[in-house]
Amino acid sequence: MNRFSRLPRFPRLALAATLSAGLGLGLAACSGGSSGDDDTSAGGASDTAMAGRDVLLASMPADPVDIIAAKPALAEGETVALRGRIGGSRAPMTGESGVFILMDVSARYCPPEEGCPTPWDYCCTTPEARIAANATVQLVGTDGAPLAADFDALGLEPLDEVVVVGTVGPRPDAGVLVVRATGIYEVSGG
Amino acid sequence: MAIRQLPFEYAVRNLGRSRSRLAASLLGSTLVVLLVLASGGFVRGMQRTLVQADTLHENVILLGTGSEEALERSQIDAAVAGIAGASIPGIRQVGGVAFVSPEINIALPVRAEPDGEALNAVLRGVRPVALLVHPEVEIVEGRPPRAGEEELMVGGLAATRLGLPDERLAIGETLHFDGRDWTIVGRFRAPNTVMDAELWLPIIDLQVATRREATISSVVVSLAEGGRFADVDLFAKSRLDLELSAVRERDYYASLAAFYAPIRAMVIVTAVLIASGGILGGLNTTYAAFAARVREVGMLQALGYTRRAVVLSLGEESVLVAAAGAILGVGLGLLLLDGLAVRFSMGAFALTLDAPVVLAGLAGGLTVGVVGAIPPAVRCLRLPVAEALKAH
Repeated sequence: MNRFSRLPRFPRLALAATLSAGLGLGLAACSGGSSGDDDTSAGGASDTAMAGRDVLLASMPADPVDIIAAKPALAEGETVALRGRIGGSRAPMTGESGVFILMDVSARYCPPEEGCPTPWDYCCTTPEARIAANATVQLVGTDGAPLAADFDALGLEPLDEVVVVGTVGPRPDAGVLVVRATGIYEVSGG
Repeated sequence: MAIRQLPFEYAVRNLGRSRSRLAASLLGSTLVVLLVLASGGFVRGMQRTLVQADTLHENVILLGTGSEEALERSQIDAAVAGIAGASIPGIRQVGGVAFVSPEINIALPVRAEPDGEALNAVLRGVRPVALLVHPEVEIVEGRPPRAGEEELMVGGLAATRLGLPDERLAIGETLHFDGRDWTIVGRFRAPNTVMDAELWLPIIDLQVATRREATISSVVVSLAEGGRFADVDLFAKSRLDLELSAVRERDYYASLAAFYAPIRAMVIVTAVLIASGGILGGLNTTYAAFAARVREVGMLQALGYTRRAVVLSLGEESVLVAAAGAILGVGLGLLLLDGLAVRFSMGAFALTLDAPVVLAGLAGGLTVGVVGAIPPAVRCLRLPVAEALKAH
């Protein structure tokens, strides 16, 4: 008698059962397993109006001033045409709140040949020099309400040299200069 | 016309012809599955710890400009927490308490004994509000540390991070740094976050210990329903004198996850290479097993079974062993590997054997069965029936 004939006889169902047990084991873990990529960002839709292309000025505003020279003297409520270069942070522009940072045009940023991937953050400038040379620009409508902005659509990007026209906001500290801008003139691209 | 199949019992009973070969095949498949589970669990565990996709709050970190990729390097004015709390709209509040948590994150050498080896620990100086801002943190034993009492509490994976046995960080034990003994008064869990491997102590104590009374590392704020990241960002951009950057907490950890991507890739490549070795070993075993059965295969063909039917039967044998090995491997993996703590530079994380990893393990095991059977079976059938019947 063949010794294999003593082995138990398995129905073909056994293979299916073995495989399904394994598959079931995997699927059972599915219920408590993977974490979703659900976006939980708070805020939802903003009701802030968008700045249109009319915020871009066709001609250079008269008598623009540089940030380093003007920052110590500007007072809240003053009207100003401020010249600067977009930059001063790794992400200097935030479309959702229509805000960007300007640096004085004399401030040094890493030239392209140095290979810095984010030259607009002025990482090679000391914090003290950065504070003396920076200003915040917030786009506002003619009624003074903040505007959101699509900076790509407006053709603005970091290291662009611009002149903004607006009024100076509250200055809680000498290092803070916020210009509520109603117009932007692009002098040159970065 | 349907192919005449070999009975399934034939394949099953053939498995018992050589128990040592059966054991080798089973072991090979089990090891390949364990390897897939270990590497998959490593990748998933690290990913889940850093990516934090399912945080309960939308947190934003205010940290120093230029330190957006490393909280440990960040230094901001200690007054930022108060200014931010008063200036940013949309911050979550409960009972008049704003969810604004000033924190110090620092890696310091601590010692289990005053004259013992320096162990690299990740410490976080916090105020009680940190427990509101980080609801993932749950104190499971003891109490939060009190300021000025040289007390701290430890995360569930802190012992792994320090390379100490878990009982060495029990309540009442001490750790030594800054020339003082610090008593452990609490233990917390924060699963799937880097915090789980940290030591927490009052921020004022850590400021004194690190001689940085005027600065902290960051301020973490939780946004209320309807609160906007843009408002925190606007605060950071409006207060340029404070030299701040606003980063979503999960974006910060996602950037760390991206930093570790090459390590995860290396783990996967290593696992694939070793698994390939396992598959080749399996092939070798199956070649030997099938080569010894050339006459039998010739006989089956002489009896009228087609080559396809014979290949199917040989495949059934191989897949059956591999499937059994895969299930055994998954069982062992869930028992031995799931939740196993692994140390890395950011702290520690637990191997995570979730559904995708388990399915990958099963797929790996079945691949061993399928890939290991077909080439030897085809080779075995290459001989003409007459020659096969004469083979020894």
